[in-house]
Amino acid sequence: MKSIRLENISKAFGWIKALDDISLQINEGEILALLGENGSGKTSLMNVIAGIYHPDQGDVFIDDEKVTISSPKDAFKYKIGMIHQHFKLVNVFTAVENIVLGLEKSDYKKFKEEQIKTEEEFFAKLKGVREPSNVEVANAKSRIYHSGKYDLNFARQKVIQICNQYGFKIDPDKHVYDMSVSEKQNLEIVKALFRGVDLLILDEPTAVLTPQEIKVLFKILKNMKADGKTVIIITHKLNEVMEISDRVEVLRKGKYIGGVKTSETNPAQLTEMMVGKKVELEIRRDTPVNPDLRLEINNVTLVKEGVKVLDNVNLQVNGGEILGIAGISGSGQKELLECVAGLQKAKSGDIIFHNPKENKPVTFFHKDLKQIKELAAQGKFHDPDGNKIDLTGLKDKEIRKMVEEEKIIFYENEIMPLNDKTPLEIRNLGIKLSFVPEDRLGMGLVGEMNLTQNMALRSFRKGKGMNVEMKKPERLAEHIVKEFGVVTPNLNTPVGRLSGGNIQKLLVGREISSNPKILMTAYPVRGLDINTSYYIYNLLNDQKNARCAVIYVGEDLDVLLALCDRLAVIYQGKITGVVDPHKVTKEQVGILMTGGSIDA
Amino acid sequence: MLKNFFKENDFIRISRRMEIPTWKKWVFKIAGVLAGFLFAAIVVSFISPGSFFKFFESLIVGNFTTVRKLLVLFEEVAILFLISCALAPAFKMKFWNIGAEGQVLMACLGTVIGMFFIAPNVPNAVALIIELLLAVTFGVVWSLIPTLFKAFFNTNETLFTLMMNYIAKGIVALMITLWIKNGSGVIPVLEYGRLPRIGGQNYIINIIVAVVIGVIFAFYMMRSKQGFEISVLGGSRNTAKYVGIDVKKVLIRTMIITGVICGIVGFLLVAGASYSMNENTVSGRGFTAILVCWLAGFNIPEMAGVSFLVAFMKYGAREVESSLHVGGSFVDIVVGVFFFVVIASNFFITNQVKINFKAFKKKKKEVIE
Repeated sequence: MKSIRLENISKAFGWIKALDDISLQINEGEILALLGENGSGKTSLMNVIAGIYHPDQGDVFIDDEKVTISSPKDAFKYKIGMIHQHFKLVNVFTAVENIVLGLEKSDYKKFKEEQIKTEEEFFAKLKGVREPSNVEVANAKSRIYHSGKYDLNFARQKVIQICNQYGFKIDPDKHVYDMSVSEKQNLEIVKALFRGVDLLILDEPTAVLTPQEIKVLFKILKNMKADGKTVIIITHKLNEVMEISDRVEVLRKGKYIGGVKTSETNPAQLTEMMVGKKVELEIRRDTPVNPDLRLEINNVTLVKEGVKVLDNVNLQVNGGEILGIAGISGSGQKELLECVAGLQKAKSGDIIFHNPKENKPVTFFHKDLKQIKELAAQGKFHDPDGNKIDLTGLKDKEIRKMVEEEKIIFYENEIMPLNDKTPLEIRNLGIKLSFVPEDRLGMGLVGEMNLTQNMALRSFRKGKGMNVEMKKPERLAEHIVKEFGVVTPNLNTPVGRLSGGNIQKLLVGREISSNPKILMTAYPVRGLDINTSYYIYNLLNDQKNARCAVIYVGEDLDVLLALCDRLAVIYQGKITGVVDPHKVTKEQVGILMTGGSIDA
Repeated sequence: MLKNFFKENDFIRISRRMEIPTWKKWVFKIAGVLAGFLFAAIVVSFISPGSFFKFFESLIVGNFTTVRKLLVLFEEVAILFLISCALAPAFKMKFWNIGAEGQVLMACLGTVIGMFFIAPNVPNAVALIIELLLAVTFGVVWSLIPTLFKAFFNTNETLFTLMMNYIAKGIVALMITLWIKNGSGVIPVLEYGRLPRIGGQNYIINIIVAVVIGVIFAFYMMRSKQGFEISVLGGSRNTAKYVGIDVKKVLIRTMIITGVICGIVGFLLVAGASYSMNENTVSGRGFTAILVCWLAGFNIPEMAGVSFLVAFMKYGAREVESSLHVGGSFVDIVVGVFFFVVIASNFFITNQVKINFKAFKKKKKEVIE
């Protein structure tokens, strides 16, 4: 294979034009970065080359010859391999078993020929020294002809050879379930190379890696380039583009924008090409003003199916501050947030909420009359003049009137353990969780319901009578659609039909709009375009300035370091450090993310 | 093969619709029903040639020509619609209760107990109340048993409710042999504890009850908070938990509603129509209602329409059978064809099919060259 040329490729999904008349050239032996925001069509375009999508219009040329690639198998025929974001490996198989899995008869033939060649080479070498013994010949024959379909030993040798050549670190006999994310990724690449791939496409390969692992991956990619292989890396991270690529091609909203040599460009220019206008790439971080303790997580341990998902976690979260949580995905971030939200019951430990009630009047929203009387008996309230309140001897009616006139005021913050509270009670206290899982809809939204109904999820119990009140949710939906620029045909569209980014804007928008006291967000910008991402960072910063305690679980270390006031790092359910983002480096955080320790 | 055909040719392109206007949806639905009739008529004319128009005539004659026929038709619609109402909320929250047959049958049994043992000795109004209470209790018990097992032991509700149907049948058969000592195995038509006739006709009250319950139920499902909770649960269990919906509570509450409606249906079937029962009193309507629910997409007003179609085809097909002198099984095939086409028409609502004539011409040219 020498080069691939795409001519006038178009592909539509329903009313969305994912690819619009794209022409592109890929040269032999280069590392090409395909740059674009989420939803710009990068992955769709590569899926066309990898045989997963069939374009509506346009042609693919390999070495100036028109080809039809109609399946991933076809793609392998043309020596094209693609590594997807979600790995396609069998967990209970070992590395080498995964590699030979799915080889076809034709592959097998080639494979055998190669094996015969090695055996012949062995005998040829031997010839000068001594005659091969009968046993050796018989063994070789049985290895070639009678050893079942694949000779795993031979495959293993080839895997080791590939690993040594390019610098992978893979144990061929390790089971996939024992592997870390980066090992799985390496295995996927080796699998492609094993099949003799000359063009390797990597879809967002760095999203799941630590800084150290990214360095190793880039070194491997450079080795592959030196070996004459072509690499396409799909990404939206500019620093990586600048570091690794020879050339950059930019897509925006399904259209081809242009290509530049990496050595002749800079991040600002690339961003402009990607977004279509100049973007201020700065995350606002205001200095926290008098942060006060809002949430204590004390020695929390969570066991799920016999595995400690959270191991003795201690954390303090302050109002008026953003606490970042960094870690490889699946290290317990999700479970930690769910514990606080009451969706998981911790095995041991306490979660204590400091309700900021100091000098604020009591309301019937959280307390009923009986509770107010009890608290008053404990001397928790004062009147507007600062005198202690004694409710004994007062009639219920009089107390109600005092509460409604906001004359009963808390002395201090209310301290309440959350362990025995239901998710609903915790939500009503103002502790909001906006978690964006992989499938985006799993928690917080209902795909079959329309925008308005999804807004009503938060408030549908309010209001008198049997029926659900839909006016306010409708207004909220309108507001969020306008404010966040959600692309939707109308408010009656089921949210499951919207694109991932738009779904996310709805979810984050809904949770922020409720003025929470604690806002927990996990991956709120996953899949969003740059402008909206920065918009959300700034919204979080605004929440912080409004005295909200923000917990931000993120993937992008650059963002975590730029946005947060404190940064906790989690590894296998343990907090390996709480660091000052102003002082640490990405590499140091990377060490903590893999269970190491630093002096800071 | 087929997959490759669709992938590689440019003539037919099938894609999922993002949005379909309501009017267009109804055009497709009505077209689907018309196509169903058309196909059924074509199949009929294959067997007895020349009966294409006779088929439509029989459908009308079978349903509409006398008052009695109309009443029978609408009573069937009422019962089917009510059972569908009982099933819809559970289905909507993805609780696959396929035990309506048994739940209604048990309610029938409850009613018969009232009519048989109590009604002769008390005033009719009191008897009716007792019968209704018994019917509802029996229905609720029968729907709650699998629900409680689901809620607390996470058993599979589909298998459980299905099996409960057969247990119910067995119990009814056993009870009848125990009560009817003369060995005939048939409960005689019972004189006491009947629902009053309106205008001398016994089915009218059933139809009125169905209309009232249908209207209330439509509002319950589409507007009420409880209906909203059911929709959320059906959409995403995680989201439901997150917004503080008690899954078990809603499950049990919904299945109690199912049981109550099944109870009412059983009461209507016995005290309002047959005044007797045997193990086939429900005659498969508990299963047919599943079809009604799905075909209507759990939408209450549409369920009324589908119930009408089902009943209309049932009695129309009987007339076809006698007027064209074809066997009963053949009529079943015709009804099957009809519903197959109606269901297939849904494909055009969820998918867009484009035929690309340009590509066709181009390919032709290539072939010629």
